[in-house]
Amino acid sequence: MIRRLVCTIVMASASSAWAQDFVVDGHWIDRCLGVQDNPMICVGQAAHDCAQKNGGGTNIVLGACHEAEAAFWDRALNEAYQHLLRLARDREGQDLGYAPDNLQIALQEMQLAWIGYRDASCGNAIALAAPFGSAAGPAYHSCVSEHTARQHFILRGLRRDYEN
Amino acid sequence: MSHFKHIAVLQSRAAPLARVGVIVLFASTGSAVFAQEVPVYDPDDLANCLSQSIVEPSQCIGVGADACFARSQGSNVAYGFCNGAERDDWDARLNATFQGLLETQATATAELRAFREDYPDLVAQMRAMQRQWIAYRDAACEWDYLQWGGGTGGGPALASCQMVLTAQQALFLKGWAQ
Repeated sequence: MIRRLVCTIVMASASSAWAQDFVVDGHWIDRCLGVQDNPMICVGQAAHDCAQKNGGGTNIVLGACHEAEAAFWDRALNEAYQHLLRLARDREGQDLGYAPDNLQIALQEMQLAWIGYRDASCGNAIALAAPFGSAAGPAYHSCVSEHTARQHFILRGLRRDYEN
Repeated sequence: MSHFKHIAVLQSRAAPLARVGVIVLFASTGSAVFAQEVPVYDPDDLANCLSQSIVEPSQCIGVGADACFARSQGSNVAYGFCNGAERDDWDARLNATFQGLLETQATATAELRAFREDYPDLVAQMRAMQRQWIAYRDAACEWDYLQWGGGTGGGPALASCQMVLTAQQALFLKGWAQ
């Protein structure tokens, strides 16, 4: 019994020692988006907050935190994209003069072009940050985060246009 | 946000009359009688907004077109003209920043190749990136355009879409150049 308890404590403390939670506070971002006219102001700050909570802004920590924020925006973008795809499909079915798949294909092409643009931009961000140094990590992940967030806002704006 | 737009509009009144609009006016009519009917894009609107250090630069996107549209009679044609004029304004800024970055990349490539001969050509990478951006802008604005289903709003919407995306890319590159 005692042995099991000790074991549990050790495991618990071991895991808390590794509680390098490179996560961003999604609620903070949501609150920021609720009050800012310009949503881009809300991009990047959660990653800096995450870095502070993990002992400060070394490049490795900063990179991991930007990566976590990029994952947040990626989920948001995917959700917006799927939603928009459904709306496009509905609209094509409404006899508004669109050829079947007309809107869906255009949306898919835009998203494919965006992926090419993001990869080329952020590959370049690595090259621009000291190429042999640890600054490449934060440069790459903050670039992906910024691009993903911006594309999410664009798609979200389009979704609102549709629903109005 | 709107507060700063007002400042930009007020300042532009003190500025000399807009170049673009005046040139278009005289070229097309040769008379000032129609001054009120021709939308006037004043590059100072955008420049003033961007020069205010407390304003986040992305807040300035659309300031020039809005001010231009406010001075017009308000039509799809004016909307298209004003957004097109601000798009060209951002496009010139984008090109200037891009040229500066190409020089930085050329220097960096030369330095890096002193260490490793086969280091990738950063200038070529930068050009490739810009081509990807153009493909993205065109696909995104084509999608935007399709939403109008061939209506007269489509053309002006296209100019507005191109303006916003060009501005965003100009500011994105500017972040690299600093």
